Parts: sequence; structure tokens; C-alpha cells
Amino acid sequence: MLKYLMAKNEDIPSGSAAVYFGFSAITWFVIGTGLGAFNAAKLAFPDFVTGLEFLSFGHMRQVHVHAVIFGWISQAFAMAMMYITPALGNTKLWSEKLGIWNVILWNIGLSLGLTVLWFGMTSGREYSDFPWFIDLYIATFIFIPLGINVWMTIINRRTQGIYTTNWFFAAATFMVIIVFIVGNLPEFFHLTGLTEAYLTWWFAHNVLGLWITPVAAAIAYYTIPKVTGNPLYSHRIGHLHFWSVVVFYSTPAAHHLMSAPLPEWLKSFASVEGVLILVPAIAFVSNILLTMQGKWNMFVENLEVRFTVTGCLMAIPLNMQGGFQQTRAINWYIHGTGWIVAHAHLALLGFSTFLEVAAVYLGLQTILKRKLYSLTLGNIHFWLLLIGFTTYWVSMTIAGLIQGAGKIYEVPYIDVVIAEHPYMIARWIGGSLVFTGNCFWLYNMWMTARTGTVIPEGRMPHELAYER
Amino acid sequence: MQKKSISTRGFWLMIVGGMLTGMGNGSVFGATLMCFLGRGKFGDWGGWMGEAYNPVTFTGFIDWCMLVFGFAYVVILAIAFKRHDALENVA
Repeated sequence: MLKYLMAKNEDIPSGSAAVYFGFSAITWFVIGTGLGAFNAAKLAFPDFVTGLEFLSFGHMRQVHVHAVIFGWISQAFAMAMMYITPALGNTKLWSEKLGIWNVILWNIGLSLGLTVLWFGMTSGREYSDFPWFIDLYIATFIFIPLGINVWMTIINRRTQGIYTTNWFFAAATFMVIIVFIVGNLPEFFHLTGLTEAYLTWWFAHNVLGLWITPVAAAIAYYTIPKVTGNPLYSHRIGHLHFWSVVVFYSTPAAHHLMSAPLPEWLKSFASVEGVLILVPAIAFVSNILLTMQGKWNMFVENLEVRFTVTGCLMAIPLNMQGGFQQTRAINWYIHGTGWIVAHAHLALLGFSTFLEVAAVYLGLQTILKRKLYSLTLGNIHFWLLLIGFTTYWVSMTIAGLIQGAGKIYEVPYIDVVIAEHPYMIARWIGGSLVFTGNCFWLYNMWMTARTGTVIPEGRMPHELAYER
Repeated sequence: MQKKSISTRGFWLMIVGGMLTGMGNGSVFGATLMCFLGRGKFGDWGGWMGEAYNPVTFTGFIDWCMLVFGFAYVVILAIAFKRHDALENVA
């Protein structure tokens, strides 16, 4: 990889940046879920690893969250962009060299950021915990180079139109830069009080709404038509999805602060916008499921389709929860409980992760021209991820309901802690299953690169999945 | 060899995927309904052990909503798989 840093762009093999991003993303997924399982063990067994400040839950939680969001999720997005954007434009990536530099600088910056978090240097703002110099680094050396590569590839495309996926990619890479710079203004200018609170949640909401959700959906718009061979059911619904994300998802940050002394009109506006998030959600899920028409055999046979459609199914409860949990009546009950933790994992570990995993499986096999080393390991990965996540999500949702009821009934806090202890153990078991599955995945993809059967020219990886 | 139906091959997907999808929707429905109906006496909060699954308690009712919605979505997926199987795997 290092030899490409100073090589001429034309001497770098096509797809190199995507491959490096892919393996880097999987490695961060293993690290991130390992940290998550460690944290869950600390909640399940309070005497587990005590006395070391940098391994305390407060430090480790931030490291887990940022390793998963900026290591796994965002690098898997970058991997998908590096191979899907040129494929849809019938061209090459604008600059493989910039892509390779992007991977290197990304990992250096992220490692530095996680290290400072680990040792207690934090802004203390949830989801934007990185201190200001790491935020500037991320915007300058991670997202701007990524955006330039994506935009230039689209500008240099050899197709007349721009497919829905590339609309999302181009817009999301632009929006995430704005989100990073504007959302972190409190750190740059020492803004405090309500302004800081509002911008903190403007950042947190829009990292989800204008980066993670649209890019994950864009990946599914590519994966399902590509693997099934069916054309996308409706480009127009895809455009409805795109514009409704931009309009409805960018404004409801105040619904994270329904109990804060913000202007009431702002909270009401945010709440209505929050419900309107159902518009892009329904557009997306229906578009993907209708694209599957006539190909539902592939849901049970094909790994990439199974991951993607399962992720789409998760988008249904995700958006039903997301749309309604932020209304005043329900937010009063579930705010600040494990429900929210479960909901956040439904978005990141459920919906978006399942779509990204499919893209990484498909992308690495396609670029490396290697058949998956072991379909059995792939299936084990799927089931460990699904069962582990389901165990986690159900236990945390029920624990959240208990906490919420404890809150409104004014039950002594220690009684609530005792009541939810079994669910914390279930949470740890679920998280550990996910971590184990990811270890299998890393091994499987490494062996695919090393010893996978070569895919003949003109064939797709999944066409050979059952051939020996 | 006769190809097995989508429902047979996707049985566990139907169970786990259906329960997960349904329970998510049931959680919102249950929480909304209980917030609308209001709370009962202190002993009805439904937090301790089996009480969380007793449908007459505040928490237990929502948990039952989750389970009922979960089973309903398994049935919906079963019907959908059966119909897609009839369309795709015509003998």
C-alpha cells in the first residue's frame, strides 16, 4: 500500500483504494464491536476491570462510538463510493492515489482521535466528542478529499444521467462537510448554553440524517438491482426519497431537546419534521422491496441480498420508532432510557450496517475477482450478526421501557438498576455474538483475498457462490 | 430434485426478521397507547422480573404489544413468502 503513495495515478491498479478501505473498515468493525462488548460486560458485571481510569466506561464508551461511526460505518461508505461511483458512471475513479492517501490519513486521524478520547481529552459533546483539532483534521483530511474524489468521478462520468445512488453519494459527501464544520462551531468559538446544546444535537442528528442514513440507502439502490438483475422499481420514488431526506431530515434537531428551554415553536416544528421523516423512509423501503419482485428466491439464497433486504426490513421499525418517539407525549416517557440506546443501534448496527456489509462483501469479491472463501462462514457471520443484534435490541428496548416506567412512577433508582440487570447480561451476550461474527468475517475476507477461487471475466461473484 | 419453497428455506429468517420488525413497531404502538391511557397505581409499574411481562402492568402491556406485533409480522412475512413462492417457483 505504501508504495502507491508516491506512484503515478495510472500505475495504481483500479480498485486499490476500495480494497484498502474495505479491509480497514472490517478491521475497525472488529475493534469497535470488541470495545462495545467490553463496555457491555462492564454494565453486566460491575466488578469487571476496575481501577484503571482509561478503561472506565465513560472513556471507553466514547472510543466505541467513534470507532464504529468513523472507523467501520464511514470507511465502509468510502469503500462503497470508491467502487460504486465509477461503476455507475462507466468510468474509473478520478484518483486512486487520492483514495490511497485518504485511507492512510483517515486511519492516522482516527487513531489519534481515539487515543486522545481514551486519555480523557474530549469536548464532552455526545457524538462530537472529538476535540476541535481532530474535528478540523476530519473535515480537511478525511471528508474533503473523499468528496473531491466522488464529485470529480461523477463529473468525469461517461453516462448521460446520474443514477440515484450517485445523487446520494455526491450530496452526502458535501453535506457531511457542512455538518462537521457548522456542528462543531461551539468548540471553535466557545459557544455555551442552549446554543451549544442545539448545535450539538444538530450535529448528532445530521451525522445520522445527512450522512449515515442516505449513504446506506444509496448503497442498497446499487446492490439490489446489481445482484438481482432487476432494474430499480422507480427512479422517481428514489428522487422523492432524496429530496425528502434533504428537506425533512436536516431540520428536526430540536426534537432531541424536547425537555430543554428552547422556543416551543422550534420544538413543535422539529417534532412535525420528525414525523415527516416517514416520507423518505417509506419511499426507500417500498422502492427496494418492489425492486425484489420475482427475485425473492435470492433473499434466502444470496448473502448480499439477504443482508440488504434484512437491513431494509429493519428500516421499518427504525423509522416508526424514530418518527414517533420524538413526539412530546412519547419522548417524555422514553427520553434518557435504554430505549434510545436500542434505537441508535437499530440505526447503526441494524439498518445501516446490514446494507454496508452487503456492499463490502460484493465490492471486495468483485474488485479482487475472487469468489468468497467460505459461504458457510458468510452464513455464520449473517446469523451471528442478526441473532446478536436482535438479542441486544430486544433486551435494551425492554430495559428502556422499565427505566421509563421507573421514571414516571418515581421508583427508587437503585431498584430500577436491579430490575434491568438481567437485560444488561442479555445485552452483553448479544454484543459478544456480533463481535464473534465479525472476527469470522475478517478471516473470511482475508482468506478470500489470499486463496479465493478466481472469478472468470464477465461473471458476478454470486453466480458462482454454489459452484465448487 | 424438487426445490424447497422460499418459506421453508427462509423459515428462520421469517421468525427472527419478522419478530424483530414487528416488535419494533409494537414498541412504539404500546408506548403511545400507555402514555395516552395514563398510569395506574405504584404497584402496577411492571419493572421487577416477571412483572415486566404481566399484561396488566404498565411495562408488561407494552412488552405484550411488542410480542403480538412480532407474531403478526411473522405471519405477514409467511404470507408474503408463500405468495412470492407461488409466483417464482411454478412447478
